Amino acid sequence: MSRAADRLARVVDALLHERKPPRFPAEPEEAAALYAAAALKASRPGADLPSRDFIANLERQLGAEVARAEAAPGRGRRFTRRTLLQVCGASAAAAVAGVLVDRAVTRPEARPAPTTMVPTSGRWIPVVSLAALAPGQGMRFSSSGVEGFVVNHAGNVQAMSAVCTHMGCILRFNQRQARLDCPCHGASFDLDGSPLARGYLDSLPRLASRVRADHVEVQVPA
Amino acid sequence: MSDEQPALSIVGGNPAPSPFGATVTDGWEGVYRATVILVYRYIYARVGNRADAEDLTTQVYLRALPRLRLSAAIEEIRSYLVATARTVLADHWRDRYDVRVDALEESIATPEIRRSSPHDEEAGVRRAGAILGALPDNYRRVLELRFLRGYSLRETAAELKITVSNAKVMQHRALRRAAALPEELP
Repeated sequence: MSRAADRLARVVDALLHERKPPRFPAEPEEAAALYAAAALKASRPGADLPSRDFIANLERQLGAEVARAEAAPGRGRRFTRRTLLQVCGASAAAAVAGVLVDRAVTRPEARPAPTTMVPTSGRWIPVVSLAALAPGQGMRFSSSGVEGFVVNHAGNVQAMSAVCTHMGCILRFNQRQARLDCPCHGASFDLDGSPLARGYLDSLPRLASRVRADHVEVQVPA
Repeated sequence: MSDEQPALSIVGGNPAPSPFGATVTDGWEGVYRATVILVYRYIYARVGNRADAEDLTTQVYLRALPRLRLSAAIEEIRSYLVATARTVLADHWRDRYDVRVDALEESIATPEIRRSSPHDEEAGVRRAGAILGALPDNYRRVLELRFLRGYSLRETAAELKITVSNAKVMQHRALRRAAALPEELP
């Protein structure tokens, strides 16, 4: 019991410090306890969200692998393990240096500017009268497969996607607090499309918009 | 609006959540951004630490991306990624602890986590609450202090007014008991 308790305690300590637990052959019942420990650790609010740095690093590394695979089509499309080592190495080095950015830490200056979605073959459609869109107000619309909002953000009228950049739920306009709320997992976005609190999320993509004859128009696919 | 213009509907009220995927069809980057949090959380719930979760998430994409049909529906892509994650996790548990994860999942009480949609992010939290609620007080207390409040064993022992050795043994018994809880839990 004592040895097994020691072993399990080392695993729990590793989990609580976000480290890899030690390797050892486990009896089935012991393994079940390890599995329960992992589930309990993951239930800690916010513990199971990836850091922005990890998401960005992995995307960069996958991009390099995709480019390599496209440059050498005759060698098959399977990616190499070298990328894995590079990503893990970067994560490990960051952890040692204590610079892993927590998900709760927002670094808006590091976030790329929101992209603007422009259809290859688009048409302008009027969505709402400019006069009906006072500062702090918004209008949800749906057209040609585009789910969007037209908002008046402090006098600046713009259109943006209504799809949450977390997991694709449709956002709701929260007029009282002048923001866009996700009904699925609690994410919120400012009326300029930037994520509030959850700094690891991307901003909402903008939609091309303009004002014509006192109407706000949005460009959607033809 | 003329007949030639595309249909426009102004949406009022509170539309139901929808996995609308217009922004995830932008090549592999769009697929990656739309799925990476889901994949990571799925894995994290089964390994319980960031270092392993990052390694295994990386393995999932390295394995899956060359085989993904990017034009597939996003739900189909998510299912494929979760299936890949299961394979990667099985390899991980065999390598780390010399156990078969499929046998493990059969033998332990995580039915909701196993059955639930990977999009149900609250399933693990509900399950953990049910596990803790079903344990005797002293077992529940030691696991709450360790896992939810992040206490060290020494701090836990001090809080419970027991020795560190006893806290360690109690933690061991509590986790064994938690793993053996019946599947009827929510």
